[in-house]
Amino acid sequence: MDPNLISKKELLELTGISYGQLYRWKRKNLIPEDWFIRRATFTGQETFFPREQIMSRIAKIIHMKDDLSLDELADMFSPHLAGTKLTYDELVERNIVSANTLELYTKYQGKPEVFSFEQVLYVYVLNRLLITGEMSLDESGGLLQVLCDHYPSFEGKPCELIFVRKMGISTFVLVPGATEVHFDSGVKIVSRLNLAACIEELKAKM
Amino acid sequence: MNENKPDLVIHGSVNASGGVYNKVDVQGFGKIKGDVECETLHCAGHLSITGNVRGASAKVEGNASISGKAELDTIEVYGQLDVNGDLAFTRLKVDGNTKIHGSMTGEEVKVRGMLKTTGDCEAEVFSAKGAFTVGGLLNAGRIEVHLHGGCEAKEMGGEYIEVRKAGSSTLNKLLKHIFNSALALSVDSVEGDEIYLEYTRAKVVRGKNVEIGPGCEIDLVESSEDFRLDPGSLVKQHVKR
Repeated sequence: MDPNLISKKELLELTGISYGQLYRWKRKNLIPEDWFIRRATFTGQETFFPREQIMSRIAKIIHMKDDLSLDELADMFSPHLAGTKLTYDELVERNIVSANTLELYTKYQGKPEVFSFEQVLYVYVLNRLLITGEMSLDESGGLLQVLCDHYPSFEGKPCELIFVRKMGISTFVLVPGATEVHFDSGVKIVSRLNLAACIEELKAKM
Repeated sequence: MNENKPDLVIHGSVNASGGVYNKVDVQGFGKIKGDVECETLHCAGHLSITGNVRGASAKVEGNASISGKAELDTIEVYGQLDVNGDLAFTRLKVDGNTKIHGSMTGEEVKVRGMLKTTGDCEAEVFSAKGAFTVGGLLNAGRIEVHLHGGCEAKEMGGEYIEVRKAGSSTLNKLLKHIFNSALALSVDSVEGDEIYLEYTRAKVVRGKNVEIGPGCEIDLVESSEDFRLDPGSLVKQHVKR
């Protein structure tokens, strides 16, 4: 069996939650539909989940369910962009991104009156790749361009940002969630970012 | 409320176009082309909508079909409703016949007629005193089924699941003779916290407290706490975990 998957039975045993809770969370969209992977096994059909994602999600739900209602939690996990708008100063004050990154963003995209959640997300991704040192300043133009031009067309569906380099030339790719992508051997995958996870982190920070 | 929204009243045979209406009332034979947004939708005749529907309440006493998806707060069906897409609602009451080619999500479902959906059905409360077919997962906080006809679901999941045979009224006996089919639920897997089943054919039943009443045929039962079995039922294997 694929070690990255966990069966429903094993999941319930490890986390101590009941079937009722699992189904309730699914109904409330706390656990996305596409994590329920149905596979045929020798005992009939079984449901599996992506191990790391579901374990961390359930830990979060259990941790936060006393403070937030299930609907509020669903909002937080939802990949749909929240309607929040923030100004330049608020972004810096709340320490969501650094002032340097914002400066860089405005250099490429201009300075908006207020940042929509989508724009905040772009700055956040930019900030993250710069801080980890995986991306150079010159490359940020390409990143912002692919995000601004193509991220809206996903309409909140899960997607992944892949950053590759070959012979010093960098490329950014946006692909729908859970797609396998293969490159030739000369390509180095510098970073893969799950944007749904980024949104989740970002919402927690805001 | 917006005063400017017009009513769409159809008597006789009318072709209309979609749009934003206050009240849509169909007594005759109506065809609406385009998306419809309305406060109330009432159909006592025959209505077909080519497009999506959004509204606060809908009452179908005749025959209505929607080619797209529908989002309606309260839905009452005494006649027949066909939706060729997903259906979202708060309360759905089916006394007639409802067919959905897609998934349905809502708060409360009451079935006294016949409900068929090809996808999943999600609700907080699902109570059925009629027949239903769910092509995917029937997921509800509380599932209460009184078997009045053949019921079918691929999977059932929730906190509380109860399936009982309907009382042996004369009508039921008559129905049984006419349709010559055993009143039974057939389902691949049932998973929940509290489960009580009667006259159910299932491959797997998993839960905390599981009670199997009469007339069941189940391949495997897994229970973590309590397990009770009626002698009139067949459980091939029981595992305590």
